[in-house]
Amino acid sequence: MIHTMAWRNLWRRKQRTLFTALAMGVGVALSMGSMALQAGIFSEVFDEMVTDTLGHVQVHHPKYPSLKHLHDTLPNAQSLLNKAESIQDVRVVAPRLFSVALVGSETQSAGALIMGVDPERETKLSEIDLELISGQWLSKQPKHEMTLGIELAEELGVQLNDELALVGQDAYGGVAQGLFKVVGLIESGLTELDQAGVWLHLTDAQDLFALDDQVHELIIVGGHSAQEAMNFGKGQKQVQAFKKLINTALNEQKEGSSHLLIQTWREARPSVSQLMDTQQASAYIMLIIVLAVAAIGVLNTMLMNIYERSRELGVMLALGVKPGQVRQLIFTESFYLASLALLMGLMLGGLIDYLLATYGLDFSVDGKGLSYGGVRLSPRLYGIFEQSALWLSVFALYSMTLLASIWPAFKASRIEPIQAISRGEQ
Amino acid sequence: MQSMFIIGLHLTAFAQDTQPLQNTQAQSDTIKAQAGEVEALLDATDDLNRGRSSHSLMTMKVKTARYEREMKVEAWTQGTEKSLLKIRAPKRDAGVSTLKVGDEAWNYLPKVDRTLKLSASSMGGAWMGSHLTNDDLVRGSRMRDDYTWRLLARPQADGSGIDQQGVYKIELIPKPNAPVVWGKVLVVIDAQKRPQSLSYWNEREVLIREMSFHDYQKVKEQFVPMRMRVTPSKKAGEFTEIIYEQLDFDVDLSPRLFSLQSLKR
Repeated sequence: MIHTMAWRNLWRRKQRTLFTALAMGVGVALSMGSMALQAGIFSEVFDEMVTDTLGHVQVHHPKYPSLKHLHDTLPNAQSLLNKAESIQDVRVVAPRLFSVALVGSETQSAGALIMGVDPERETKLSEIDLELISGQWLSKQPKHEMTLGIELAEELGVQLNDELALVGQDAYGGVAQGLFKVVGLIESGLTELDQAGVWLHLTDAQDLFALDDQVHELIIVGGHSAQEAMNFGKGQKQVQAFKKLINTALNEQKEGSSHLLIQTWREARPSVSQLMDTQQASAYIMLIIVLAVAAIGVLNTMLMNIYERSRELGVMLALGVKPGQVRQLIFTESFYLASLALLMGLMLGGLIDYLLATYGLDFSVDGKGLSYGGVRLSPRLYGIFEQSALWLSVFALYSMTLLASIWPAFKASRIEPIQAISRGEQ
Repeated sequence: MQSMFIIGLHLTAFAQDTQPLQNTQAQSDTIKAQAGEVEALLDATDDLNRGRSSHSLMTMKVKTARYEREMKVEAWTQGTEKSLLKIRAPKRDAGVSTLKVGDEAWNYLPKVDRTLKLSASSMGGAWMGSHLTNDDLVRGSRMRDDYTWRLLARPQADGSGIDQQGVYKIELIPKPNAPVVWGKVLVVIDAQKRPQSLSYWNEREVLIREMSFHDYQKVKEQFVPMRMRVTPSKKAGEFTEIIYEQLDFDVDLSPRLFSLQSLKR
C-alpha cells in the first residue's frame, strides 16, 4: 500500500522528480568517475613507487636509512638473500648496494650515484631494462660492465662500449678504482638517475668498494603472481603481516631486533604513504561534497512535496493514518527517488568509467608524464573501476537521501489536520 | 698523501744537542735569544731534511672504531719540495702513488691508469682512510711564517746542567690571513731538542688531534723518530701509526724520479 502510494506520489510531478533524480545521478556519476581516475592514478603511483621501487618490505642496517654511511651494510648478504627468497609469499628479493664515485672518461669526469644490483633480480623488481634506450642491460655474470643515465653519458661524451673509470673511496678509506665498459644507456625519466645514475653488477660493486658479501638494502616484494604483487602492499594489515613473517625468518638468529631494520614501505617512506592516503581521502571528500549538494536537492524536493500536499496529508491523518505511517511514506518516496537517481547515476557513471578505462586522460606535459612524488607517471592515465567505489557510491547516495528526508518526514507527520485542511486548496 | 708531511717531519732529526740559554742575561737579550732559539726549533721541526734526500719503507696502521688496517708504503723525498709515495701492500691498494712537487700533488691509480691532480677541495679529505688529510701532505709552508709563537715553557737549567724532565712548549697562533686551518698549535720538544708532540686545536679552541713522536734512533748522524702516531681527540681508541721499517738519508735520487712518468711506474 505504502509502496504503491509512494511510487505514484513520485510521479505526480514528473519533471521535478526527474530533474532531482538526474542531479543526484550526475553527482553519483561524477564521483564514480573521479574515484575511478583516482584509483587509476593511485594504482600507477603504487605500481611505480611501491611495487617497482620501494618494495613491500625493505631490509637495512639500522643506521643506514638515516645516515647513509657506506659501511652500514647488511653482512652475509648472500645467505640473507637465500633465506629471504625461501620465505613463503616472497616473490622478488632485490639486493642493492649504493655509493658515490667519480666517473670519468679520458677527458671528462662527473659525480655519479653508484648502484650495485643483481641484474636478474633487479629487472624482476623494477623492469629497469625496459628503460634502456640503447645497448643492453648488465650481464648475469660480473664482467665489469656498467649502464648509465643518458644525461650523464651525454655530459661525459661517452658511447656504448667505451671504458669509463670509476674512482671513489672504499669502505676502509682506501681508493675504490675500477674500469667499466658501458653496455647500456638508461632514460628513466627521473632527473636524478638520468643525470647521475650508474648501475653495476652487485659483485663488481662489492669488489670496487671493498664490501664483500655485503649490501645496503634488500627490497622484498610479496604476492604469488605479478598481478597479486601489484595489490599486495596496499592493505596495511597484509603488509604488516608480511613484514612480521620476514622479521621472524631473517632476524631470528640474533637476540633483540637491532641487527636488521625491517620496514614496510609505509614505514620506510612515510611521505609517500601519506601522499597516497591524502589522495585517497580526497576522493572520498569529493564524493561527500557532490552528494551533499544532491541531498540538498532532495531536501528541497521533499519539502516542496509536503508543502503542496499538506491538505492531503492532513486528510490522511484525520482519517486515522498514524504519523509513523506518514513518515514511512515520505521515507519510501525518498527511497524510490534515490533508486531512480541511482539508476541514472549508474548508467552515466558506467559510461564515464568505461570511457576513462578505455581511452584514459592525457596528463602529459611536453609529451612526458607527470612527475609525482619522485616517480614518473605515464603520460596517459586510465581509470580503474573498483567494486568498492561502486558500493561506496550506492551507500553514500542512500544514506544522504535518507538523511535529507528526516526533516521532511517528521514535518509531514506533525501536520495539524484541522489547520491543514482548512487552509484551502493550493 | 699527508704521509709526505710525516716523512718530512721524521726527517726533522736534530743534528746536535744545544745548550739552553742561561737565564742570567738581560731581559732584552733573553727575548732576542729566545726568538732565535724558538725559531730554530720551529724550523727544525717542520723543515727537517732540507737539502737532503731520503728513501724509506714504512708501515701505516690505521685503527678506527670499525676496522684496523695496515699498509706498506715506500717513500722517496728530496728536500721539502719533492716527494713520491707508493703503496706496496695490501694488494688491493698496491701501486696507488702520490707525487708532490712544490705546492702541487697528484694521485696515480693503477687499476684505472689515471692520474688525478689533488684539487683544493679534496685537501681536507682523509688519506687512505687514515687520520691524516691530504692537506697534511701538501702543506709546504713554515710554521714560523704562518704563526706567531709564544714560549710557554723551556727546560730549566741549573748549575749542574739541563733539567732532563723539562720540555720546550711553544704555542702557535695563526697570523691573520695565514692559509692554515688550525686555531692553535702546541709544539712540545724535549731538552734534547727532539719533538715530542704537536697538538692541534680548531678555531673554537677544541682539541682536534695530537701527533706524537716515539722511538728516536740515530740514522746517519741524526736522531729521528721511528714511530709516529696521530690520535684524533674526539674518537676514543682511534689512531694512525706510522712505523719506519727502513730509513736511509742522503741517497742518490734521480731528478726524474719526481715526475708524472715515474708516478705511473
